Amino acid sequence: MSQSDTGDRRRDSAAAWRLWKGPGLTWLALVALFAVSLGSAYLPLGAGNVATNLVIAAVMIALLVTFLMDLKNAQTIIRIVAASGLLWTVFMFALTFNDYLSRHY
Amino acid sequence: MTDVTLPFVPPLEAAGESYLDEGHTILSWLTSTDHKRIAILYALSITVFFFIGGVAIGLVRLELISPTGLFLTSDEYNRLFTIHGIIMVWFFLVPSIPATMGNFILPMMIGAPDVAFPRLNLMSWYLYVGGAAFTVYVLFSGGVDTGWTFYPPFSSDYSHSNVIAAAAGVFIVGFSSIATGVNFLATIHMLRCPGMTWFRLPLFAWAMYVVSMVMVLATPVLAMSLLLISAQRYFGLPIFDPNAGGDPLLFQHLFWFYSHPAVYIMILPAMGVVSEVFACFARRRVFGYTFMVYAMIMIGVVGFMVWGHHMFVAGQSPLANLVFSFLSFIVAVPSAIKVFNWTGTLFRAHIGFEAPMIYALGFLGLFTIGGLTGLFLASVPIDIATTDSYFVVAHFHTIMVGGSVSAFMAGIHYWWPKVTGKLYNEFWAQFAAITMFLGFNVTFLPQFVMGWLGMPRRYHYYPDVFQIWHVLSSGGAVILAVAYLMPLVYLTWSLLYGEQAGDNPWHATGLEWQTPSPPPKTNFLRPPRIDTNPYEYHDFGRAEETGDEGRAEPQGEAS
Amino acid sequence: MSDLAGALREPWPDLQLQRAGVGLGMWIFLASEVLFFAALFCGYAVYRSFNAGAFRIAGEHTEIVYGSINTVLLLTSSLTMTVALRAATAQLRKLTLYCLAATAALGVAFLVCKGLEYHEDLKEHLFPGPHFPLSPPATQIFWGFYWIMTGIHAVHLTGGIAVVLVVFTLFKRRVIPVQGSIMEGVAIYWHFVDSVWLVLYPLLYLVGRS
Repeated sequence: MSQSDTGDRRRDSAAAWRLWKGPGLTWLALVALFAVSLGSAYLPLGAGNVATNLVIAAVMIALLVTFLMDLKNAQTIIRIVAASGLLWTVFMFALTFNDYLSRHY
Repeated sequence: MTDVTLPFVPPLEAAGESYLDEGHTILSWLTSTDHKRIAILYALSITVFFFIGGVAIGLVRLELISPTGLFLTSDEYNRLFTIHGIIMVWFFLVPSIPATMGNFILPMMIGAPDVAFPRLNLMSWYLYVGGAAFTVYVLFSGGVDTGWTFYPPFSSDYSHSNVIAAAAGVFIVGFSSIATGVNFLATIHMLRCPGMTWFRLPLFAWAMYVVSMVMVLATPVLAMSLLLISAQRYFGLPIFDPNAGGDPLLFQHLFWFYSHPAVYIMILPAMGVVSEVFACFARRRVFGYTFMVYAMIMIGVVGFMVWGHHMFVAGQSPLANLVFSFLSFIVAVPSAIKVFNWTGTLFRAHIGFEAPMIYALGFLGLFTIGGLTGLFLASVPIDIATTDSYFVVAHFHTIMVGGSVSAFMAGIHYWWPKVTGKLYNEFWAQFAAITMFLGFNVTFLPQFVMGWLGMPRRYHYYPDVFQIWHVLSSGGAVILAVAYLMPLVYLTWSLLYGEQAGDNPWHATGLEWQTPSPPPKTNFLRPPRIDTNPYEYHDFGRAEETGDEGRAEPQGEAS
Repeated sequence: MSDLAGALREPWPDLQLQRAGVGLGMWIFLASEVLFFAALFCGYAVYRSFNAGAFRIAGEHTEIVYGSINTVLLLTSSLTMTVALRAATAQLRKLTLYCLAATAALGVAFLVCKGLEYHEDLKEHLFPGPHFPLSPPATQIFWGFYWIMTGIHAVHLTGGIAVVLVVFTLFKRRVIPVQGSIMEGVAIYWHFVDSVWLVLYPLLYLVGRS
């Protein structure tokens, strides 16, 4: 609405660069990890392939959640909520596999 | 320092309009984001569905008078009990207390002007209506016959009924649940009034909190399980198809992962209501408040780890049976603690037998019986004998009808003066409550007996030897039906001709009573604050009877 | 400050609490979404643990190039979404709009890629049914999960793109100020959709490659 556009624009650009830096570094890390995961899939690691890929996926998600979703600065309750989703998933997997892995038929 | 820091202080005359006066058109109701109006929209909707589900099972009970049926084909019979289950679980019980009383009373109870996300609240009602529309379509297009449990391969491959439409209806109404849960959790976390610390929350608020957590975490798994059978049915994707290596039991794992916590969704709010009613009508603080809170949390958490007790004979491994059985015994403990604490609340209390209390007392006894029979079923050997018999049917109806519906009625009558500003006719309410209790027992006690004797559930034709029990049960159902219709009459009468209730006709504690009846749109005339514990019905350590006659000295005679 | 009046909604007493509330509400919804996908992943895990060989055979036929491009597209969209949120909080309206548009564009690019990929898959008849080319039978289970997992993910992504476009329009027309509470929720949801893909990708595309 005001007419101080030039000053605003210069201020905006400097502020903008600062905004890109942190997320940009996270993005680089994520792409690098993705490349490692993709590459490792072509190595004959047997069961190690799944494990590697899933571990890398977990690390990527952790990076995304911590740095891009700002979970590191979030209130405790939000971290509890995030953890609950994961914990309940563990309940589901643990008790379901408890059935499947103990069947002998 | 405001007027609402002390209990029983008569609030000022209502200066503002009540929420009922803010717009009189239907559109004002259908577009309202006021939690109180949305609660009433829900109340009307679930009442309609309660009666539809009731008619369905009324026809079933009529049919079961004869061992060889009277007027239904077996196919029609299957569709009737299925739609009864679907409607009663998802379109009545799950939303009942949370969407009506939770919506109306919870914000007021914690001193908030509304829920955290009022527009999401309205959307949750429209999601209910959307799901209900699918269910009505199913009703009119021949129904669904898989049982409310939708087990494959019947549901995914062999049923010739509207499985996908029914699943879609349940899928959609599930998101109504999730929306409500998200809203309540955010409300309780962020909109409590000054002084309302966590351990000053009334137990109804805690119940809403825990049930919201369960709704949010359990319901999506139901949604996925229904999506998967629909995908198998419609697209032929062999998710549970043994021919491709699939396992029908996987569906049961996913379905019951939700459906067991669902029964806690149906009982936790009832527990919350009953705590409020006992405190008020026994004029006592609830015994063991802290244990009551932790018991509800434990039910909410451990309730997610017991689902396999619905699958003891389905093909689970013996180890899984053992683990689930053990955990099911554990989850009974907090419920038992609550029953002891309610009893402790009543012990030596000054009990009034108004309708809410009669319903709550009915809850206490029937929940105990239902819970105990649940323990029997948690024992694998007993369950193997009684699975899919009327024993199971009687067990879950005792908890859900004897328990949850009784508590729902208790809450309706307890908060009726607050919501409508009118008093209901106490005699007829008490009469209906007692009739309901008697009708319930005549309906379901015979079902325990015949289940134990071997009568299978969901059977259209049955051996002659069970007929007497079926006739008794159907007779009881008639009494129950009358008892359910009576409130429609006297509550409507109360709306039209009832006495003005005043702000606090029960002389109850709690913020919702410190404001006019019916409340203004913003709930409170001035910002509330709290600096006392809940249920300050009497001074600790002093019997109410001694009143102001000096200190109560221990004497030989009872005072 | 009058700018912000449009952003504050009943029943919140102030904008900061409202933002925190929207964030909390969205995270709680996300917990439910985690369980939604967890049910799917649990089923996949059960079947894979008993049909490892069949899953390896089935997994070789997913289009790794499309899948990998899609992963990079989504990761980049999370970058632009993060910057959009930061820009909004810093009240940099133009940058917010630019980043929201970029996010939506990357999302659409993902969907286009997915569409092309589905076309390839269907050309090879990789849909469980009478013309399914692979054996043993459990390969059909893998492919059943493929269609459901990617399909539901795509539905969530489409919803996200729609919301981003609506929010973009609301900001562009100055209906609500960028520093309201809506960006919190949108960003959190978007990152979640990306996270789901990060789990889907190894489960569907990196199986049986070695």
